[in-house]
Amino acid sequence: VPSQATAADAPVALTWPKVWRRVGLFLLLAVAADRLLGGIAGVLARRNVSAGRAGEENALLRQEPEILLLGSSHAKHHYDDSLLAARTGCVVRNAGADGTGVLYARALLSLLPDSSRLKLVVWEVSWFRTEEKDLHIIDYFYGRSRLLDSLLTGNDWRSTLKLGSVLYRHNGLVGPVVRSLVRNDPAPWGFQPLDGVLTSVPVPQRRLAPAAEASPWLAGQLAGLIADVRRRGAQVVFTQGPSLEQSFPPAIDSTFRSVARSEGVPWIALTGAEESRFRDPALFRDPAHLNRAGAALISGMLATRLAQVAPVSCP
Amino acid sequence: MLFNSIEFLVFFIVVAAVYPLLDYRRQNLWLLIASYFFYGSWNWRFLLLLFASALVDYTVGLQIARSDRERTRRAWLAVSIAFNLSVLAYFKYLNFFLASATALVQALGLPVQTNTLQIILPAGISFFLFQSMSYAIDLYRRQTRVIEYLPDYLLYTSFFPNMLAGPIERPSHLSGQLRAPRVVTPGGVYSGLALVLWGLFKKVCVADNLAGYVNAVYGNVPHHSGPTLVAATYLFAFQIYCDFSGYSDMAIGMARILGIDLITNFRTPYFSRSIQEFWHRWHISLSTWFRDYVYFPLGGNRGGAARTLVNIMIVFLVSGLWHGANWTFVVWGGLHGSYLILERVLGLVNADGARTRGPVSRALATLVTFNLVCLAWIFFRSNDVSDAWLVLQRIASVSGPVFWDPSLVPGLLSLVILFAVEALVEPESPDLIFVRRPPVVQGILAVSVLVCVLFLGSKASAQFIYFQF
Repeated sequence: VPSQATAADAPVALTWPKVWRRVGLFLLLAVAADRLLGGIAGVLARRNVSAGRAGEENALLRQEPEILLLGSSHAKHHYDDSLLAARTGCVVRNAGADGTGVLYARALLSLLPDSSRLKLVVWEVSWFRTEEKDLHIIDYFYGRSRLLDSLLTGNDWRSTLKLGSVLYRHNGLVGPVVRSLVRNDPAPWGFQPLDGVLTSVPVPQRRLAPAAEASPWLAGQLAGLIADVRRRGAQVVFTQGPSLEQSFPPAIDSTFRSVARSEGVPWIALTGAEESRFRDPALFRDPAHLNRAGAALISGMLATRLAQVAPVSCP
Repeated sequence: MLFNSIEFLVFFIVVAAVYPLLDYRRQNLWLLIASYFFYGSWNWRFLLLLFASALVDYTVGLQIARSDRERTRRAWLAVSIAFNLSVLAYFKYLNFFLASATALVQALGLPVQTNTLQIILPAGISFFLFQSMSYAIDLYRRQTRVIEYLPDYLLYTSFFPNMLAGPIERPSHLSGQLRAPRVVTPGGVYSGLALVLWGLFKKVCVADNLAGYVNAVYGNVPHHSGPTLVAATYLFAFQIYCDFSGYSDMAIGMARILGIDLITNFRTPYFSRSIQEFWHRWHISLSTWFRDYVYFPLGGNRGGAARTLVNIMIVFLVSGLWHGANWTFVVWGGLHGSYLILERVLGLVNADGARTRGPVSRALATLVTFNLVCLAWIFFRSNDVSDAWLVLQRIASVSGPVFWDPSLVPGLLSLVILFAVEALVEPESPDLIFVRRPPVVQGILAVSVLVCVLFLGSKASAQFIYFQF
């Protein structure tokens, strides 16, 4: 084996006390850097209202909505918050975010101040297999509320240890922060209609694997979401929009319905099964999402149904 | 348990804290328990395979050492090689051979039923079997001493820092250290910590951050333009370097903390000025393994110029196949073999590497070498040979937009830091940038690296690429 020059061979003359002193110095500097640089990153991240998901969330928290629409990309691309605002006279904010489920909805809700004027939360039912893992996208809010902290860590010691670092909490924000410093124009957020018409008919059916094991966990989180909203003195409504493919396994679907039923939460079904108009591919951009025309139709229908099942009056 | 996980940190702290309290025999037992626990945490079912393969070579080793008859020694060596290669062939290559044979028969127009077996590849199998095989070969060559105490041998094949992805140790280097008391020195612990930190930076800040872009592009080649594929190929070059050398740095650093010296596996290879020099600086433990156990037995350079070139090509084709059961790896090996042959035939290299003088020609040689290596990486990274050809065709067309992913920013920032550090220490070990500075500067440098790991490191911890080999 050829001899390799390594630091082990290099003259690193150290004694144990010196090593411990240096390790101690390292730890001291590390904690100081973590607090200082992490604090700066935190300030910059909170100022950002223009770039990425972080910017959207900051903007939402400043807006103090009276009606809050939550859910995944379905909510984001289907429900026109300006139309709902015109119909209800309330400040309506669509905070739908791609690939998010009940955990994200609870986390976002927990960030609103207790004194907020929230009257109604509309949650478009959504579920993702990797929801717990994916929640780290809002790590930077760690420490803002006890509920949020427990959602982020899942009371797991490893996550708690990692999130103890302020820098780690702001990991992943370098791009958005730099972008918001360079170009501070508001990013498009809220309702985002999709253009285009679905062309491939018939639509292939996606078959999702059963996920019965997720149901007890999901039921607990759904009950938590309902309790969170009601604790704020607001109403909660679950909606289910149309899709030409199976959105989640049957076990998940029945969990949504049974929790809503047992908790007395109004359920607004706007799927193709209940509303035959939503079987028309011309209203879809892709099998899972409505296009602009479909969104206009469903937004109007949602406003009408909300007025029936959960009327709100805003001053 | 990945090296870059909190679970592993706790595991290693416990191992390292108990270790100095024991005498060297108990230290070996302690490390053996820790190593089997570590491997079992991946898949406990393969512990039996690990144990059985070690037991075979341990027994073979005893028999070779006890016999003076050449024929007997040779027969025992054959048992070891046959056993190890059979295990490797079954777990790693059986499906590949079946698929290739089926394709060949189909190409001849004969009817054939396609069947593949559901075989799970044990993590790190190529590494621990090669390390085990080198023990039997070295004993046969009388280049090392027999290990008589079974736990010592089991530890030699399963030492947790290097068992999954190397460096592939040699008995003459590692077993001697396992048979004698070891001294945990303050300098060793200190430089070991520096190396672990630097390896962690390479893995989570560079490799894992670049992985998303590379996987997205190479996972969907037909949808990407030539410029995007060029970008993804360059980024893959750094991803695989940082993934693999990051693992090696951490393995060497951890072993050093335990008072054990592992051989250096990488020496800033992308600064090489020739392919020959590249192979003296990239995955050194594997290239020297193939040199000693394949190239030399084939005759090395003693059979004349033509025979030498043939031997070089054989070694690189085998090396390609070692990396994985796919023709892409064989082509990758073949390309490197061809480069080396061309360098020799054209007289471009001497014993020290490239025949270059002056900074400009050196920089040019480095640039050409890097691009040749990247060209070969296209085959290494592609899912199959047809994908690789498509990549080459798209790159040749030199047109189309470049796919940009904002999540690349932390990876690119980290790449700049990596380049700056490696350019400073090249060709020495990167931990030297930490240990040969005044204490305060060392502290600031180390903290800066930690800040990068926390702030820029990827949260999606991916498995090390070389575990699959």
